[in-house]
Amino acid sequence: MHAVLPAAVVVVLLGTVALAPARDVSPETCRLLGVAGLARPLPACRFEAAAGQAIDAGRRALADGDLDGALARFREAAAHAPARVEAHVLRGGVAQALGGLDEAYAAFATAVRLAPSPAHHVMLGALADRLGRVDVAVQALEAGYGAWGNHAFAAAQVGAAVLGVCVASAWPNVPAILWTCPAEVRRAGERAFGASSEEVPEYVLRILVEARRDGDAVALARRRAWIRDAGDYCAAGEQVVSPTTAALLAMLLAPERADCLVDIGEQLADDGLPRLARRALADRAARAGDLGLRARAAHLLRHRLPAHDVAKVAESLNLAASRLASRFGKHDTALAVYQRAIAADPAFSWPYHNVGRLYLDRKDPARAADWLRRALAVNPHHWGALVNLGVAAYQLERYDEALAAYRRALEMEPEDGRTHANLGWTLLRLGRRSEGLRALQAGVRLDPSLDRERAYLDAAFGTDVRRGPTPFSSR
Amino acid sequence: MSTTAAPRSLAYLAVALAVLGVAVAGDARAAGAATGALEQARAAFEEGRAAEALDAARRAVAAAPEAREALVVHAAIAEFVGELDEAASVYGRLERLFPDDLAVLYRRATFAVRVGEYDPALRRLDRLLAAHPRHVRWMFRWAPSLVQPVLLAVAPSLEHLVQLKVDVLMEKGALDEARRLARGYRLVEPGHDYCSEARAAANGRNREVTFQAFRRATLAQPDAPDCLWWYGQWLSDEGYVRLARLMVAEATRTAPSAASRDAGARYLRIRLGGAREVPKPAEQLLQIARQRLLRDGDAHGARRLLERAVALAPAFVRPHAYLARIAWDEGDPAAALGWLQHAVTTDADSWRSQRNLGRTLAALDRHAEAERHLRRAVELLGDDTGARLALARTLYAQERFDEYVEHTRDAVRLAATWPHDLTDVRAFLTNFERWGPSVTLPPAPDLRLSLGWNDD
Repeated sequence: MHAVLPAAVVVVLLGTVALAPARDVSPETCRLLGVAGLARPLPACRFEAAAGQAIDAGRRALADGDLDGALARFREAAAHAPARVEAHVLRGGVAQALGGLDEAYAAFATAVRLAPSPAHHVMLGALADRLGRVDVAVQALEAGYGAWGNHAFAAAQVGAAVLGVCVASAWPNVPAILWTCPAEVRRAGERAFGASSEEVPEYVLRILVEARRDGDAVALARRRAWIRDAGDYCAAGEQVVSPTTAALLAMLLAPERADCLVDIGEQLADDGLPRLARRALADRAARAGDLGLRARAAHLLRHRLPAHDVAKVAESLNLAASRLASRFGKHDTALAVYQRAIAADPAFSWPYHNVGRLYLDRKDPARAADWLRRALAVNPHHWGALVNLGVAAYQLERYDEALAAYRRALEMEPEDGRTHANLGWTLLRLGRRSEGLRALQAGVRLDPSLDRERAYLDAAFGTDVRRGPTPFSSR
Repeated sequence: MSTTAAPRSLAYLAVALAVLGVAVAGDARAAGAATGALEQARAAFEEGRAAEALDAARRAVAAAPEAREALVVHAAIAEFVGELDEAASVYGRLERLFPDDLAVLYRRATFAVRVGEYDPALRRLDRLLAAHPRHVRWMFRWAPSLVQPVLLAVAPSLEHLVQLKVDVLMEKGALDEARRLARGYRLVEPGHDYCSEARAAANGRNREVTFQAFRRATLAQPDAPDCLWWYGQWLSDEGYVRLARLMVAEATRTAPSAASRDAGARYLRIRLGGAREVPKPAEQLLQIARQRLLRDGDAHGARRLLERAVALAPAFVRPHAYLARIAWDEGDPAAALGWLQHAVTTDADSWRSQRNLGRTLAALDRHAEAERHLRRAVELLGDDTGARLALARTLYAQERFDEYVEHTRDAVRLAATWPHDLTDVRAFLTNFERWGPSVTLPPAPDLRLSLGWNDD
């Protein structure tokens, strides 16, 4: 018996070596063979080792912020070891960050094929959504809801943290600890469990609403038990879903009480998601019960969003480029991705505007102004482009042009303190001091955070004692 | 010119929230008829039309006399525009109707400070401090400095209230108590040399840094009278006459040398009205009027407040200067002269009044009369280059050229210690000395002086 077992192991190992195709060997197999000293002669394991080195190099490049270098290394790793899931996941992630949506999609699809875990399905689903492939996205995300145990673990982590804080803040009042902490822990745990388990389904709902598949969205809500009999989705009570999902449910199921959707629509626009924002705000512009909110929704729709439903790929590329520029500081790569967004939807003014902002950040106001004018040519109601055109013109010392831009921007958003302030500085430059000071004053009144303007006015007129009766309280 | 934003000033928010935020929420909707008027008040306030905002707020209160939000907005706007009696009446009503409302309590406390009711203000501030959880107050007082930023982020109102209380105690004349409070709440650290930092900050151009530095030095270092003196001068330029007097008086009392004590006494006499008491409401009316005039361009509203300040404190000459300025801008030089002559009659040692009257008379080509007042201004403050140049000009106009040359040379010598550009003055003098009198009068620019002598 003792002699049979090692012999069997040797036979299995030799069989593995003999049967292994050139590259399709899992890392686990190579590790097993490595223990037995048989990995070296096997070509597949040599590739596996090279893949491991490429992944390490890619991670180092990533840590250094070298996204292109990292992508090259991960591609190399995936080519060396096509069965290595990690290589595909990393390649997909970096390709996505660099705006290579098709490559990322292929990489995540391979990862799902090799290891169909919930996490990989979510990656694939999100990518499919960015490419506008709604059915694939929904299908993949539905397979990514995750197991009960994962959500329970997330809830337990939050519960432990809340318990720690609760005990520390109530200590040494033991009765209070015994009385209040368990309830707080339970509430936090329930919230965390809900947030974890509903996160992916909520994403599916957003995709369905954006794709105007309202029937499917309502069916999903019903399956997830999100429906509230009272229809009070906009009420700030305990809800298992996020405020965004609640507002979208209100739009679908209780449109007469869905005015919280206006704020959500504005938030979505600020988050770089014009398609869903447009859906939300167009609904409120047509159906809001409060006439003021209806006007606000129409205003946001006109001045903060493109005039049409932009192509999904263009929206995704614009967002990817924006993250490249702001999060990774990759301005040149971002410029290239913005160009691809423009190619995907030439009537979408945001990428033109973002290129303009990028050039403003690079202290190149001439090019910035050029791109901002292009944005305005595509959408003359683009408020942000107008304001930044004012900034660029000011930097170019073309004060008349800056003045005209700010004035038009203020016609669109009369209560924007910063634009008033910018108008004020421009008027001061033009020697129109009293008008300039008035505009600065209006800016500071509307936006108390304008410290520089306030300091300028305080130096000119003394601290505004109307803010408070003593030296400290007046500032 | 940037494109980002983040809210900051708690003090400003107190006003803005009262007027803007509250007006569109809560009871405003319930108040029905008041809602429209509140909306109008909000819009007018936002656009800087304060008088119109006040009218709308009054209408809102008339429509809903016990609606909290309407009353808060009414009181806040009345206070903002300087209608202090009206504000007092509305705040009184608010406090009776909502005695436990913390926002009302805060506004009532700050208003009490504005009208000089220091003890009631301190009692209200103590109630507000007590409304914070005990452990937060305890940590604010005793937790190490490392924890304080976190604590202030959690409860920013705590620091604001304590700082306000420190200001009130200082203004009340309880400087030792203010210092104890500041030390107790770790607003200042023992052993820290704030005074040196303040001197360094004074060379920079950041007013906020300068203010904070001198204030901390005043609170932390009773043994540094020069910093106390500088803080007093800074306050004087800012229009806080009462507190400025207290600071300069304390600096004078504790100054080690007789020369410093003399300089302090002289400053009190020629810049801060000597022994003439200025009631807090009069000081506030002047400061609010100044903002209405300069920031809002509201000469009419400013004049009403200034006249009220003069009625409250006839010996307080600063409002006279602004009344004269308004009259002058409105093309009424006789009225302007009237106000300035009244100021000089009220306080002959007021350097600013003598100077203003002299310059105004000179602008009207009444050079002989102007000379008398400008000469007095220069006697009171020999370092006043602008007054000396104006005096030289009036002498030139009276063809007393030797005296013109003498005073101009003195002025040029004085200005050499400052980064003043007197090119035109020097060129005129050179030409005069070479070619004799010209048909035009010499230039007399009004130059900025050192801290404490520039603004009223």
